[in-house]
Amino acid sequence: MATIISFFPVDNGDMNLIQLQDGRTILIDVRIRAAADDPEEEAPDVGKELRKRLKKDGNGRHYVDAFCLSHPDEDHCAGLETHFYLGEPDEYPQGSDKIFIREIWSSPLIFRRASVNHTLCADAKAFNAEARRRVKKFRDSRSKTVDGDRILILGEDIEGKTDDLSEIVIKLDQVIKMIGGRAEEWMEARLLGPLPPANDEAEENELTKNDSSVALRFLFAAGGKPDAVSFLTGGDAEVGIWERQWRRLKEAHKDWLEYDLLLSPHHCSWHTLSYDSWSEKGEKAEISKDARAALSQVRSGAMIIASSKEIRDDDSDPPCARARREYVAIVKDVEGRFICIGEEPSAKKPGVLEIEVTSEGVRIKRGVSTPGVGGGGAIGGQPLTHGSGSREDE
Amino acid sequence: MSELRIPRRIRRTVELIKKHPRIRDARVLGEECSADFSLVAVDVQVEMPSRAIARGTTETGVRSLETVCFGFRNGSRVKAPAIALRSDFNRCLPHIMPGDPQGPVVPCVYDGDMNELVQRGGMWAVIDRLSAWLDKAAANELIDPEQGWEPIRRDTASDTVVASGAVLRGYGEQAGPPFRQLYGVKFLAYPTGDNPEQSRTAYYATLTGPRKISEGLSECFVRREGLLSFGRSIGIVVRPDLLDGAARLANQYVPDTVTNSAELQIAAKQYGCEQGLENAFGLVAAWLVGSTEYYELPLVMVLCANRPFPVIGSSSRIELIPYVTSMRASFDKSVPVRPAAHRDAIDVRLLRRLSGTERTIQERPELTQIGCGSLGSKIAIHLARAGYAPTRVIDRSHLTPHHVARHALAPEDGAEWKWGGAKADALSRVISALGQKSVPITQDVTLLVPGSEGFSNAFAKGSLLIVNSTASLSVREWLSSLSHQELSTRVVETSIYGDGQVGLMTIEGPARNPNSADLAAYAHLIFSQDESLRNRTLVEVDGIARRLVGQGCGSPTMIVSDMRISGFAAAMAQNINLLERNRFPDGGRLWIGKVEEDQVSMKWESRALGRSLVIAADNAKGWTVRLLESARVKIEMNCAQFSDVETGGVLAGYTSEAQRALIVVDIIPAPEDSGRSKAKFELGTKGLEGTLEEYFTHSGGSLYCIGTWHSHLAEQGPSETDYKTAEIISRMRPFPAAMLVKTPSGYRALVLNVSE
Repeated sequence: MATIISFFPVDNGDMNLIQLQDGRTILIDVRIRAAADDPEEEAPDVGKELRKRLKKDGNGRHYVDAFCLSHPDEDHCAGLETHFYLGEPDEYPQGSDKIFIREIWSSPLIFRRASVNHTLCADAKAFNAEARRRVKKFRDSRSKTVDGDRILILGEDIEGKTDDLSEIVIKLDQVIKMIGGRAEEWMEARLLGPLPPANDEAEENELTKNDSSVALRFLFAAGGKPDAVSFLTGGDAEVGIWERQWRRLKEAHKDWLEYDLLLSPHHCSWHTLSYDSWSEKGEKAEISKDARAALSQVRSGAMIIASSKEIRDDDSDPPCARARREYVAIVKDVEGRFICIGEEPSAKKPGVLEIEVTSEGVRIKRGVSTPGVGGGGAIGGQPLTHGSGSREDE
Repeated sequence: MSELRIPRRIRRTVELIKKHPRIRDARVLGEECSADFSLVAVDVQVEMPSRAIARGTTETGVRSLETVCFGFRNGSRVKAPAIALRSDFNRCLPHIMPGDPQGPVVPCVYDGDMNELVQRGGMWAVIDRLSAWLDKAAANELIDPEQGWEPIRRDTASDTVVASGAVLRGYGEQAGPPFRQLYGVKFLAYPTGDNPEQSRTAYYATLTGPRKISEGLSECFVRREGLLSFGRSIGIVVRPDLLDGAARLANQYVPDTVTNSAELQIAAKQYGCEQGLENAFGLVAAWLVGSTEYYELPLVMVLCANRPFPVIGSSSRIELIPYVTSMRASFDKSVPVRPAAHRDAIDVRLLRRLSGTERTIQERPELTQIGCGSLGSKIAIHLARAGYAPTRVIDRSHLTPHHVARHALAPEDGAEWKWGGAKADALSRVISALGQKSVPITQDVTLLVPGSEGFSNAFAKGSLLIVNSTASLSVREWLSSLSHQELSTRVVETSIYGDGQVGLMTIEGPARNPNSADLAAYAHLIFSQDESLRNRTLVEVDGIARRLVGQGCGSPTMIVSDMRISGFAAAMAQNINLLERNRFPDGGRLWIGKVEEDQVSMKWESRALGRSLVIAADNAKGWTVRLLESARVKIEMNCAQFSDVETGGVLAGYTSEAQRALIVVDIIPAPEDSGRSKAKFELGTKGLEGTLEEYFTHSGGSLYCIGTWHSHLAEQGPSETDYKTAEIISRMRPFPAAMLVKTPSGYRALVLNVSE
């Protein structure tokens, strides 16, 4: 089967799963809200949708080969404790239906102490604890770690905190070619973020959580082409980060920003493209040329995804109507398209969007979705009045 | 022509097609329609890969909007429409039906019968498949390396070449000289085609063994029988050419449009078999120079193309591409050639694959089937069809007309005179036609002497199982009388009781303990204790009776239908096959199958039986008491209940002269007037006679009183008192009897009335 990238409908938040051609899986962020677990609620049951796409291991556990957390905000890690197993691999409780994480990909933010600027929700704390457990395991043993203990740190931490972890640290601009210690032939991923603090931020010595987001540029192979599809994803990184990306890469490595598929940062937020406030300045808000340039390196037919609620034409942000306009303009010249997950296939009933990797770029995977004679059509789909036609009050 | 009336049904279908989300438009092509056919053009929206959108066409030449032609038969409500793509559609894609390069391009959108698809899923199901096919074609995903290389479609070929795919692929995998191998061919030729006036000959050709060309030609003949003809000819398997010392790779999918020898040569080049084909044609031509006597015979050619990854449904990269042409002294010009379909020869692999009975070990386990009657023949054939035929079939009797009612084999029209041979021979021949060898043995097994040649022929050392389906007590007793040293293979026994209402299957324990006789006795105990089972097995004594099967001829058999026996045989064969493919049970086991009230449902239950204790008689050499687990448990419970006094009771079971044993299946409790004390146990009499009589009746006479048992509190065998009592018993009843003594650590026994 071709490589598939699935985007789950989680309102303003991220949750996407890469199923590689060889069956290995990478989950980037997770947002399974309590409402999604409640059959009474309207929120799509993304926990069930995720499990449907995961394989089970020899012990009958659903598993992901890698789980990448872009940054520890609630809209990127909700439901982690409820749906994923965190802890010693051989203490996985029998009969549990929690998803087993073979390898964690984490930013070095896990080494940061909590502060006013750095508060964490319960799931983020649980993630930190698990990531640190895995790092400790590596420090203690140094030997080959096993699935369930593996971790990669995406980026070096400040003050040399990760210097003794070189075997598990991916440096900025390096390429990940292995998953779980084994070479991966259908994917490689270049680490483009988090960027180290810029000089003027040195005093604070730390970035906000959003700006510490992991940014990866994936290349997927298909039909004999190692770079058949390029997928750029950057968590919630904001305008300043994208400006810096453009300035550092535009001369020599503009192609590192090139994409067939872009997950628009921060749920189609205006702050990805501008320092101005959309709700305050409206159409007068100015766009950052460099940030826009960083996010416009489109290949022909490129697709931009907004992982957000339905985008309304009002002053809310994110998702922002004007940001959408910019993205639509970016893909227009190359006959590409912009898709909001919260509106696909309809705003009333969004579903999982599956993008297929082909040798000539991406396309939406269309299953045999049509119910044909088996479906009820209007029956069951809408209330249908039956009766003699006489009015009730007569 | 535009006046032509398009059936309302078709107009309605067009409207339905239009509503499918993947369809832009659909319209009747009035100009192209006839009274019999309606043509409809359907515009399908293709899901384009992103970088192909601006170009409007993919690297494989698929457009974002493809117009597909649907051809409906006006007169039929059950036929799916014929589907054709535009005539300039890329023909080099897989999953396209072979055909005329100028004709319509027919995609194979569904791996099955399209007519069935329409009936099940309606017209939208067809559109779903078609759009999925076009999407795959657009992204060049019609071949999925994970799934395997899609072989060239030969669904519509009328000629068939039968050969073991595994053998031919094995040959094809060894590339290089001599590039080809000649085979003998048996063929059947028959007229084919819907229209009898345009019928032509189609061949069903089976490759036999490898031949030299001189041998192959000397075997050739053709004989006519009405519209059919049959005979022998030759076939040539061509393997890949070499390129830099390795098999030439055929990694391009090319349309299969061969119609003559010149085109075959071009195709062979694309398949990487050019040299081999040239070599093969040269060989035939050289031998046929100046002779036209073979021109009527088919020449089978199988090209082995070396694909970049394994062909779907096989682990080999070799794709077999068969053709049928004619024997000629020259293939330079256009000798007609037709693509043929490959069908796997009947062999164990094919049978196991289709039955889902594959086993890691490819060999067939050694299995001896004793009894080739109605039940045995069915079990043997079931196993053979699953690729596990018995390696030996034993039966001393011959087929006679009355066997036709229930035997697995049936006489062939025009060859009824062949019926009447030995059952084992007939069964062995059919098993052989199912691609498996089975040695027929027509001797009476019970006369075989352990250690003799005949014995080892029948029961090969290291055999997995022996299946006894003879319904013969003498065979069961004989097998059970053989020691583990004489016969080490565990025996399965299958039998059907009274009018086919109950079936029994047993398997002996490790080291053949419990043995088949123990298990049968235990089954009879179970039967006798259940009224409904009892009445359908043991009590209805005339279940098996001598039935007249001719003037002055009778046969001891039961009246039961073939359907009923097959019901049991299928379950039993299934069970045997599960045993063959999995582990044997740790002990003995039996399965009882019962036909339910409705006479349709059947219910099987399984019971375990542990080892039998074999206790040698203190007083009679060679005789033993076999104490079955079912009885031993009761004795030990009784001893535990009366631990400080001697206790006892009556032994129930039967006497086996063949095994020289008294088989103790059950314990009948001591009557209430029995006396228990530290020094002795006195068996009372109150109601005992009645109990014993009932026991005898309930078991249909198969289980009865065979002696007594009592316990000793000290480690002491039969006492003087015991010997005296034994003498009384043997005076009072002339039959063999046992006196069993339970000592604290084990058992001792006296066996009476068995002096030889």
